[in-house]
Amino acid sequence: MPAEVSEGAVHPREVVRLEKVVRQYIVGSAVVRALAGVDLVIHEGEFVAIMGPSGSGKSTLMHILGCLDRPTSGHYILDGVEVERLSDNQLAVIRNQKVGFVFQEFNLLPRETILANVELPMMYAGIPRRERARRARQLLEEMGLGKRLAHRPPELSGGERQRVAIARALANAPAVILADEPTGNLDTNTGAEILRIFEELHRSGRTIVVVTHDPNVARHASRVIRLVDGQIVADEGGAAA
Amino acid sequence: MNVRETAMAALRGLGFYPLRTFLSVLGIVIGVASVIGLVAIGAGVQESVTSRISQLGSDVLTVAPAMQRGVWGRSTSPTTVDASLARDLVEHNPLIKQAVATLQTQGTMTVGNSTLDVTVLGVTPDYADIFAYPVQVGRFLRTSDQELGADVIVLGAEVASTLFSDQDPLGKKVQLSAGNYPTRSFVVVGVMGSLGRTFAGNFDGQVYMPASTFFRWTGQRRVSSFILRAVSTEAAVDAADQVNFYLTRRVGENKFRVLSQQTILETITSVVGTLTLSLGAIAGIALLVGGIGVMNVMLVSVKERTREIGIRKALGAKKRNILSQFLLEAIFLSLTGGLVGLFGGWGVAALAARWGHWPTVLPIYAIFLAVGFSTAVGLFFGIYPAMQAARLDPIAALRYE
Repeated sequence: MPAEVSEGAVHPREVVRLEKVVRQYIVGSAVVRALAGVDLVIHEGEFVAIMGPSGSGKSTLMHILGCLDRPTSGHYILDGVEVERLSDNQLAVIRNQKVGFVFQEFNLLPRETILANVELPMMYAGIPRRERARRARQLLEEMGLGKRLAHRPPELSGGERQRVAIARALANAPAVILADEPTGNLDTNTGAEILRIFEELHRSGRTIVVVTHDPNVARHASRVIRLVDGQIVADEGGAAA
Repeated sequence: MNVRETAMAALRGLGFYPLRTFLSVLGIVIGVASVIGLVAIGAGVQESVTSRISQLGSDVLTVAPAMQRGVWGRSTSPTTVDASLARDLVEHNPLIKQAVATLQTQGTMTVGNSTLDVTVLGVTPDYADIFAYPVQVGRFLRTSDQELGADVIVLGAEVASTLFSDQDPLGKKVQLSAGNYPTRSFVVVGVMGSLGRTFAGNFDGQVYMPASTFFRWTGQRRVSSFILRAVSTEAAVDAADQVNFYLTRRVGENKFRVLSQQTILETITSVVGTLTLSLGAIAGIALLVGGIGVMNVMLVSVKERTREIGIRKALGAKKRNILSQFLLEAIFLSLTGGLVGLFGGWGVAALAARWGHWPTVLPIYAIFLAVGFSTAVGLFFGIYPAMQAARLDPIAALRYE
């Protein structure tokens, strides 16, 4: 284990390290353990699928990984930053800088152009307007949407919207891309197209975590983690595992 | 994310629902319009009053019998109140330079077939001098007219133009009848220039004859008013006090009123002020209602855009980014209302000014008042909804349908 922590030429950098992470909620008088002690290390360049039935805690894990939520106990180090004790505003900065979200429902701002949508994380990062627009345009061109910059999300197909969302997730060059059922609202062909994009991103060295219950999605990943009742029950394919 | 970008986001937020935006700010529109309207009307009236007064000369005082106090000078004999009192006022009050007694009645003047209702004044030659009242043609009354009790008459500009149109009135005879007095014939010796309507009356609609002639014709010696002139403009207020004191001893208390331009101005200013204040309270209530409208629409907006807030937070918006976005939106909302109200109030003031014949004056401070008020209302009533938005939990907000 200690060998993994140290950074060396052989072992890629750690992007995510969870240690005994517990997340529990109090519902009425009952205590619900969504995560019951999760240990997980993800290295740079990995494409990880987190699978599990509903209620297994994968959404909670996703929220913790994305710094939308904090563990009740345990440690979470994201890209070298211990985030479990950060304030709401500090977490906002971490989300902005180190996490790129891709959601099942796309979660684009429907009344803004797709260019403005991709600019949004860079705006909160304080990147100057001109630079922002340049990068957003470039990202959207890479996603094959260079001719539709002034369109708004409702004018686009599901696959196109998800590509906008991926461009937005890449905007601040995050340490990790977190995708929550990214193909859940898409037909099979479009879903496959989105997964090809994730594969390309993986090949170019990005770290990707996909939460899904779909085995077809998980097949594209280099490592599959199975979650049951808030605990990791299987971890297959990881180079470092 | 800088102020300009937050402002742009807020402005776009407003543009999505124009009708709702308009309805919610209607209260602010009305509130600001009434504030602006009031201020502008008040300023216009004040300016008109001030200009009429400065037209008269601010060293002029008027002594008039007190209203509803019975007949002027009843405690003294009519003779002492007429010419001698005018002289005494100058002799015993060092701050008074000139004094003229005026005798007044309403009459009808006839020239050929035309008749005109006029105000007839019996005055001494000083009268034109006190008001710096210019002669247009011919001459004003002379001391010799006064001594002889001559049947001469000087016409105000309006009287001359109405009765003689383009004819030369000089040397013409006019018939004058007034009340029970016998109709009498007078020779026109002069026409005055125009002074217009002032607080001393409508000069242009008056005709002037020597006080002695007036008395011989009507037998009336009751003085309508004394016109006094102080030694200087600065001395006018002190002169009014002096005359007040003198007359109180001479004819008794509460039998007369000494009016200086200063006191007239003060009275009118205080009336306008009271009016503005009480109507201002109504405007305040309208602004309050408008503010509640803004708060309501902002609360609805925050609820509707919960998901947007969740997305923004997930992408790295801090609390203050969300807070300032919604706060600015509320301020823009009420500022829009404020600007619409500004122009609305201006329009109302312009209409009122046309109706009341005073200038349309929109003081610069009124514009700041409108902008300031609406900004303050937006800030005050927008802070709560904006805080609600900023406090939202990102996970719950993202799940919101």
